[in-house]
Parts: sequence; C-alpha cells; structure tokens
Amino acid sequence: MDIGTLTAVMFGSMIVLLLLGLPLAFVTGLIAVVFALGLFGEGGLQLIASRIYSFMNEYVLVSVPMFILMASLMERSGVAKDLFDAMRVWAGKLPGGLAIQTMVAATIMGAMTGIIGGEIVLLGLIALPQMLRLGYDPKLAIGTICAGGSLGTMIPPSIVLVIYGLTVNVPIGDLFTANIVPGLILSAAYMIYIFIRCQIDPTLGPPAPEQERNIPLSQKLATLKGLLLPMLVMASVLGTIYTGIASVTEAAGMGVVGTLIASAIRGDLTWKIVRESAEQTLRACGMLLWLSFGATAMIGVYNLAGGSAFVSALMTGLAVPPIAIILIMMLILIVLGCIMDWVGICLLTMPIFVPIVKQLGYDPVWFGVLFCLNMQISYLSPPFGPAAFYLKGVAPAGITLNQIFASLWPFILLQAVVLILVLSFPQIALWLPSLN
Amino acid sequence: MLEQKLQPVVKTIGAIACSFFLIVVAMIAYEVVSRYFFNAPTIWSHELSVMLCAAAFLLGGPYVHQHRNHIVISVAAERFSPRWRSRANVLVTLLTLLFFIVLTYATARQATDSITYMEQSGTALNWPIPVFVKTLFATVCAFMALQSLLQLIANFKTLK
Repeated sequence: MDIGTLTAVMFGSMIVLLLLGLPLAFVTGLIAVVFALGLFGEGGLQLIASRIYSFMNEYVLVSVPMFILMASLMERSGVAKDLFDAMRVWAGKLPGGLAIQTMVAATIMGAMTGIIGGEIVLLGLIALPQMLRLGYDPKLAIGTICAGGSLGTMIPPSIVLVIYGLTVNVPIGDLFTANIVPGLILSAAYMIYIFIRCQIDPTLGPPAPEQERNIPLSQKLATLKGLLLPMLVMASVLGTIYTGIASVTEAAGMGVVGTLIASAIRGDLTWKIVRESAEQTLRACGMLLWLSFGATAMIGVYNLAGGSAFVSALMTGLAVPPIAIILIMMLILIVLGCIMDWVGICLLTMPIFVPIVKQLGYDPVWFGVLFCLNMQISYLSPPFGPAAFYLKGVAPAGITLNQIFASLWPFILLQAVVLILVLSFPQIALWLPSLN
Repeated sequence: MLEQKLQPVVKTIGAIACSFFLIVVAMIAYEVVSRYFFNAPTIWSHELSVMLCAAAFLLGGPYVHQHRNHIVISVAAERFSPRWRSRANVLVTLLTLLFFIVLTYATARQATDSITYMEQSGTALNWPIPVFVKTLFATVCAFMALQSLLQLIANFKTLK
C-alpha cells in the first residue's frame, strides 16, 4: 500500500470509528495497533509500547496534573468567588459593565489556571445568574462566559502549551511568555466588543439598580481584599517561572501549595475539598493521558510508514508562498477542532506540521501561539465545542445548547481576527520572549 | 451487573492514584524549599514525581473506563434506532476489547524484557523504576481488557 492510500485509509477509518461512538482514545489506539501489526509485524507493537512508555517519562508532564489539581482546588474553595465579587462592585453604571468585569475576572482566573472547564462552570454558576437578573441580553451573557472561561488555556499557564512544547520540543517557558500579549489582546478584544455593543444598545447590558450600586467607597475597597489571595496564587506560579526560580513543573506544584494556603487562610480548606479535587484531577488525567497514548502511538506508526515525509512533500510542493501553507495548516486545525479534542489534534498534527514550519523558516514558538489561539476557536465551535457543553451543565433551565452555540459566533469571529493578527504580525507573540 | 463487581477494586485504584498526586505536591514543595532555602537539592524528587505521576496516569485508565468518562462523539450514534444502537454498542466494546488484548500483549512483552534485565533508571538514584512502571502498564492493560470484556457481555445481553 503506498503512503497516499495509507493516509486515506487511516483517516477514513478514524472518522468511521469515531462516528460509531468508539472513544477517541481507543480509535487512535486501535488504528495504531492494527497498522503497526499490518505494516511492521511484532516489532511495530513493541514500538508502540515503548513510545507510550517514554511519553509518560517526561518530567514536564508532571505539571499537567498539578495545574489541574490547582484549578480544581480553586473552584471548590471560595477564592475564585471572592475574585468575582470584588470585580462586581466596580461595575458601576456603565452599560455592559458587569459583563466587562466578568471578563476581567475571567482573565485573572486564566492567569491562575491552565485548563478550561472549571472556569466556565464557575462563571456559569455565579456570573450568569447575576447578568440575567439585571436583564442582560442572554446571548451576550452566554458568549461572555464561554469566551472568557476559555481564556484559561490562552493566558499562561496553559496545559495546551505544555503538551505542545512537549510534543515539538520547544521550551515551555518561552511559549508561556509568548502567549501573554496575544492572550491579553484576545481578552481586550472581547471587552471592547461588549463595550461597543452596549454603547450602541444599552438595553443589552443594563447596569445594576441605583440602590445596589450605592456602596460606600470604604466597602468597595474592602472587597479588594478578595483580590489579594488570587494574586498570591498567581505570584506563586507565574512569578516562580518568570524569575527562573523554578521549572514549569515545580511552579505548578507550588501553585497547588499556594492555592492550599490561600484556601486555608479563607478557612474553607477541608479534607473533602482536597479529596474531590484529587478525584477530578485523576478523571481529567485519565482521559487526557489515555487519549495521548493512543494519539502518540498512531502518529508514531504513521510517521514510521513515511507519513511525515509524505505530508511535508505534499505541502512544500505546493506552488504557493510559505504563509499560505501556514494558512492551510490553520484551516486544517479549525476543521479538526470541530470534531476532535485539542490533545488529540496536538499529538496527531504537530509532529508533522512543526518540522514543515521550521523548514519554511518560521519560529515554532510563534506557531505554538497560533495553535493555542486556534484551539480557542475549537472550544466554542459547534457541534462539539466543549465550552458550550460545560456551560449547558450549569446554565439555568431553558437555555438550550442551540441557544448557547448561537451566542458564540461573534466571539469566534473575534478569535479569528486575533489569530489573523498574530499570523500577520509574529512580533506580537515573539517580542516579549525576545527580551530575555 | 457483572461489571459492578469490579467497582470496589476501581475505587481502591482511584484512591491510590489520588494519593500519588498529593504525594507529588509534597515532594515538589520539599524539593523547592530545600533547594532554595537550604541549598540542598534532592536526587529523588524529580524521578519519583515522574514515576508516581506515570503510575497515576496509568491507574486513571481503569477509573475513567469504569465511569465511561472517555471523550466520545455520540452525535451520529444517537440517531440510530434503539436496535442498531445496541448493535453499535456491541461492536464498539468488541473493538475496545480487541485493542486492550493487543495492547496487553505488547506491554507484557515490554514488561518481561524489563524484568529479565532488571532494568534500572540509570540515574543517580538508579532504582528499578522502569521495571515497576512497565509492569504496572501491562497489569493495567490486562485489567482494562477485563473491564471491556464485562462491558461486552453486558452490551451483548441488550441485543434483541
């Protein structure tokens, strides 16, 4: 079987098995073992076993459960709720003020956590009812929460970047630094959008009634104490990475310690919270890692069969400028993002794409930022946008999945704009790391 | 249901794996503090963190498998008629079982090689960590094959 046919058969069987309802982890794993046996016999199986084993042996991978554990602890303790409350009183009488404050809180939370899910659930539980109560346009409120909550993997730390860095062998510290400015631009774009919409039509985001807004300044300042503990957590993670005190993994571990301390200071640290958070971490890691095992095995077999060289020749053989090849890759990622989880996409495509990117003379750090932005789109895009499903789980009865997806289009558009911006001006991403 | 008999085992596995994460947090904190405040880095923190996390990742497999937490795209399968859906379910669990049987074979080979040579980590610590992780890998795969078999039997009974 030539490599072109093999590519078609592998990809085709993947789609069929996925639609049949086989979990993604087993789809990729099954294809890997079947093709390994068929193409290379017994030796192929040994290759898969040893490939998965060495994947598990990366020290950086330890940061993944640490980041997840930290986020789980934060959701369960009151630290994140304090943050939102602190932001809320400052909304004032600005139309859309509460949505903008929610976005600020989401951005700060994004700088404390490296995953999505928890943040959306949390904001869905505390911010959405508030906005709906004030008479916000449900679409605007829903979009704010899904887009803001997705910033968790855009604003560093981010486990998307951890897995990307691990897959293509790029320093994760550089990736984190490069993602700061694009992440903040994305968050600012959301806020500007909300602001403009509400300026044009103030009924979309009415401010809180006069008596609720009438909080004395001293009381307003007192709520700022709620910012103190989140800042402590942020400093314990990002501070240790950027000052070079600790590696990413150690910083993540210290982030867990910081969260535990913050939660203990608030007085809501219980054994139950720790146990539930650890269980959630195990569930998330079991899902993520077994998915990675399958994907890394499948791409290993494919590349051994000459897949990487095939795709590379196919793409570089196109009579188009290099930037068009990057655009094609982005389109492929967007399409895959509609049907697949980010881990699967990263492990399946990046071992093929990034060597081409390097060959074309582009920086893999910049490409990592583009990948991360692209995955922001995948969180929101139907039919499997995870952000929508997370929110559906906690949204008030009566809000349907269709309604949620219908709310997300403007935000997807904004993500695409920022993606094109970083694509056109790589310096947006690369300027900050170049200062080091 | 047959599968429920495994529930206590999975629960124990889950508790052990959870405790591994917490131990890793403690080890990282110990390492950072002893390195920066006492200038005394450990030789074991790195390696044992990786080992415990690898073990927890592996043990997370049966945990997720039991609770059916894997990421599934169900949009097509949901449109099948009940009869075809149960047929698809049988096929899906059959394929899962097949995957784990092959994977158990592959990882068992890897583990026996490792045990035969008493493979060590080749670092300052030089413990037989690879033997432990590779053996655990094979054991977990065998266990997940068993889970899949029980799921297959359960799904088979729903066939009409």
